[in-house]
Amino acid sequence: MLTAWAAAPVRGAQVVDRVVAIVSGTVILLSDARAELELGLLDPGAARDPIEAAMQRLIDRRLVLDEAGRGDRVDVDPAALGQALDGMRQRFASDAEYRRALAGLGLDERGLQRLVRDTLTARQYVERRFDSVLPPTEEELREYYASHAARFVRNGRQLTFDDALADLTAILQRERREQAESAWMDRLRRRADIREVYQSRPK
Amino acid sequence: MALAFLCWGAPEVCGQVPDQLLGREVRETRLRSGGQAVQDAQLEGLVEIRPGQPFAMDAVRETIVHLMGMGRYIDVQVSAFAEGDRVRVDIDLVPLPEGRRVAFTGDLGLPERTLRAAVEERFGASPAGNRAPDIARAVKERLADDGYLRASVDARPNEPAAPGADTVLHVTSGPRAVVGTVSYRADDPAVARDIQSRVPLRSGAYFNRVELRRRLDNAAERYRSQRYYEARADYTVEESERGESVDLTISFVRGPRVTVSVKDKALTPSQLAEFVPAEREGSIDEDLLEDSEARIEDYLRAQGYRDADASYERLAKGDRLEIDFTVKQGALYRVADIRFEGTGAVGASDLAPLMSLAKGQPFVQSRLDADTRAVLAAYRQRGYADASARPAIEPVPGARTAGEAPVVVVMRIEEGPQTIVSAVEVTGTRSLTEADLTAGLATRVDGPLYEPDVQADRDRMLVTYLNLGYRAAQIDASVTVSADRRSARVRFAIQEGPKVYVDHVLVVGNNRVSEATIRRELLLKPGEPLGLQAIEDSQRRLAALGVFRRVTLSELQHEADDRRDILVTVEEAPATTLGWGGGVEFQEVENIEVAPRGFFEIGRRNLWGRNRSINFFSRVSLRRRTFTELDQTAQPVDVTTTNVEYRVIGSYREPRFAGTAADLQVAIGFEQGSRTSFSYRSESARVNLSQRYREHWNLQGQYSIERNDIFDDRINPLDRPLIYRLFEQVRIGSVSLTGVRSTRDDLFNPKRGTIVGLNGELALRPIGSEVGFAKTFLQGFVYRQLPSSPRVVFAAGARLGLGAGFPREVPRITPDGEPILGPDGTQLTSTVQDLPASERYFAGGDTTIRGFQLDHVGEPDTFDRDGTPIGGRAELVLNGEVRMELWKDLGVVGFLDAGNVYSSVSNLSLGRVRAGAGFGLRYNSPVGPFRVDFGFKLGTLRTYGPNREDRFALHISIGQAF
Repeated sequence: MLTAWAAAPVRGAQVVDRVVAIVSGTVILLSDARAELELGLLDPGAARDPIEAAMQRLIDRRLVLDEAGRGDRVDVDPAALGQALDGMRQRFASDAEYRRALAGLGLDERGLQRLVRDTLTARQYVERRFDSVLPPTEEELREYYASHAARFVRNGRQLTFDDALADLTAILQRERREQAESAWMDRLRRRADIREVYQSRPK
Repeated sequence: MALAFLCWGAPEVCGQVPDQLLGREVRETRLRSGGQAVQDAQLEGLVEIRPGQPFAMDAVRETIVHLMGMGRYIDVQVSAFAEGDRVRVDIDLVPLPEGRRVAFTGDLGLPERTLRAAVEERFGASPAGNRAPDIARAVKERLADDGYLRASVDARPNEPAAPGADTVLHVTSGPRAVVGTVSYRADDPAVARDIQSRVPLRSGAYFNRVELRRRLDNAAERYRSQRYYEARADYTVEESERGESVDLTISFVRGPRVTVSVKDKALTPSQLAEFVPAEREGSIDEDLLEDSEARIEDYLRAQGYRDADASYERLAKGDRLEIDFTVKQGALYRVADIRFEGTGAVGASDLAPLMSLAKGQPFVQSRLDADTRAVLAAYRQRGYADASARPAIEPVPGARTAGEAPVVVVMRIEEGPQTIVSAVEVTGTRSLTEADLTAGLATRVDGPLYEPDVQADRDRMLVTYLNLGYRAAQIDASVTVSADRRSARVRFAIQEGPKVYVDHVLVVGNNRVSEATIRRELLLKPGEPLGLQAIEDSQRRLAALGVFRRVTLSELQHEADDRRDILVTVEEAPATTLGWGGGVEFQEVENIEVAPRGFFEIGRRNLWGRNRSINFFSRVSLRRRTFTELDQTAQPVDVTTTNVEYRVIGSYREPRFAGTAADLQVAIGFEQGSRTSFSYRSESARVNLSQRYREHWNLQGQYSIERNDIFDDRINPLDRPLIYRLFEQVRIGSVSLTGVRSTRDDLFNPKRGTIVGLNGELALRPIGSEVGFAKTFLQGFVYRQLPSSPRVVFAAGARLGLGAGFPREVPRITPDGEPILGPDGTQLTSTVQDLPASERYFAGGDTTIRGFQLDHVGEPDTFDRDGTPIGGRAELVLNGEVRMELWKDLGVVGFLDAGNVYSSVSNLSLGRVRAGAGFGLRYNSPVGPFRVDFGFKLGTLRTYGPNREDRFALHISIGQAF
């Protein structure tokens, strides 16, 4: 992987784009990672290396899209697509700035639509796949309530199990879903041929 | 903010393009690899960042994607910097590392090659880095197999001790366990002692669980082969605290010795072994025995014993176990009659041929089920979607006996309404007309509605779109049936999607074969639609070159939906082939002859980067022969000679000769051989150009020259004409032209189609021939399956040959071969205008007129005074044959053949033909039809020389007669 650094650019030159990862033959570019960050598709938060974070996100998305392509077609609602594109435009002060940003990323309107559609498709596929996670049993709910009672305090008052049931169910359902998603993504990653070309900067 | 900070700290990492570069004119683009400039036309063709064009990021992205599509690089880095008011661009290509390395560090315990072999066996030679946890587990298991029970294996990335490796496994093998105490337990002390001798475990030896398992399985298998089918072996392990030793307990259960039998000999021993596979499976568990019951019952019911019943009983007798089967056949159900009730539009005469059950045959329920499905399918195909068929079995009153139960099969049918297609609608098509799409559809207006046809039509239309490049096309087929179910509207709703075009065609993997040769075979061209059929045909054409071991065409997705690159990856086959060998031939003539022989051949293809090939074959043998001849005193003496036989053939082949679509073949051959009464030497050369036109036509032009010489002549005068015909002792050089049109469905056993061929040949002195002649041959054959009975094929053919020799002067010789001289001492000559013996026409035999033996059809002047056929200058052959498949690969034929051979073209007459008829047997062997034909002559038998014709002729050969 150190060979990726071997080709030093000419003095004064800037690496404007390169490969950051290859997922089952599909190439992910540095400009793809920048697009995630600059268009607001990913909030790097406290990530030490936003490019690395964006790359991992793009790897996951690629795996999900490949998986989705094996099954029934996932149709993205045109209204949702339009709404997402509008939201992206509104991040920029003017239309000129928006277009300049797209040009800097190597995107045109069609390319941006494709990017947003892929994002929504992946999200929709995952939601549909893990829509019907088994609901928690009463025993599991009671056990969670007993070990996390402090979470179910409202206005200084400890909620009873019955009062907290709706929140409990939602929390456990979400956690269960996240665990299932995470385990599924791990399996996808293990099965796929992934090469991370980009090396995060040393600490 | 974080991104901005990162970019400020290391702009070469974050790739943010300064605004001042975008839009500026590109001055130069340079390809580099490892610091060196790269000059490769194919790579340069993939670069979208072009001098003179504005610098744009979309071109940068396209360039990287194109270059990565070659499959050679792990990274492509595009750098840009301002040079004045323009931009210079550098593209650095980082090659793929050679395979993905797995490195081992730490205390391995076993040799590294052993661990690596275990990894490669499961994960291949270059496993992906993300498989590291699985690889670590596999290595740990491998160590445990050899006694490293406490080994730990960690997968570590970026290990300094192993630079350049994708996966680094740090191994801590720990102690290797040795065998401590061993105890053997079995259901019999003698068995325990036997197991101890077969699976000896020495205290202090290294523990290997794989070897232990293997020995235990072998021991159990040995007992199972002696009918102890329940024999089982296992072991338990108790590890010491630190894993340095293991105490083993070997448990062996022999079980009883099993005998499987059937009462009253209801099954033969081989049937019993087949239906109750206890010995083969090494088991007598309940599932196997219950399955055996079902197998026996199914077998008997398939013979017509509808009430067959099989059961078994386990009888334990000491250390033996008897499995006793009782089989009750019951009465044999036989079909007395088949009736159809409720038929209307579809009559019983249409349904009866669909039934596999027939009067007099045993009744088998599974066949009735299949027949019911066939009847229903017949109704559905006619538009009766709601039709039902309910079979019933009715006993024949008073006809049942202890052994037989005649039954009547009654098929009760309710047809229901017939649904006719009232309209076929196609919506959403923009690029094709509705007429184009609906031509050839099975679903048509006023035809019956049949759902499978609707789906097949949908698929057919979809393939049409895919072949035009509409790769995302979707077609929904829907059927709306009227309330009375008598009519239906069929609608095909099409979403064409974008048309996809080929952007770049990339070729990788070729070393000797030129890229031009590969691109010539591709039907995919940049800018043209990316059709499915074009991909398949391109792959087929490349494979047909015969120079590649593997050919793969893959599509590389673009940023844009409507363009794709095509990556052609080839793996070349070895260019040079070598073969050699030797042997000994034994032959008994007058004595046993032994002839050692050897051969050598070498071939080379891909000559000069194109699909040219050259081959050289040689064979040599030494034949020692002893024969008897008369010496000067007329006494018989044995003469021994050693003859050298050889055959040397050189050939050259060039497809697409001189840029045309024709294939060129050149062959030169030299041969010397010996037969019982003569030896011969033969030299030949041939140049052939052939070309296929469209689908069915083939044209071929050829020049050939050949000469034979006979020596060591001991030929019987009666055999001389045949031998001189095979080894014509004149040099013949000729040009010929052949055209063939063939639509046969099979080369060796056609059932449909025709073949028509015309050949013309001209031999002249200026082109090397010692004799001149002209010949033409016209033939045509037709094959048709009878529509009402596909097992019957009618075949017919006609052949017409015409030839004429050009006048030439031939020296006159005496019967002893001495020249005849004129008064002035010069040799006398005669003017001869005849075809050489090898070029004359002959008829009669297994492929022409089968009532006659080989070559024995002809006018009287085409035979010599001894009755030996000498051939003619014209022939006519007419054939008719009916071929019928009887059962599986066996068939019969009946034939009628007619024709004749004429001494001159002017003698040709349909009024003077000989005829033969007969029948034959056919067997479709894996190498082609094997046939026996028995023919007899029609009309008056003739006498040629001293020989009167036989009425009959028998022919045995491979392949159809025509």
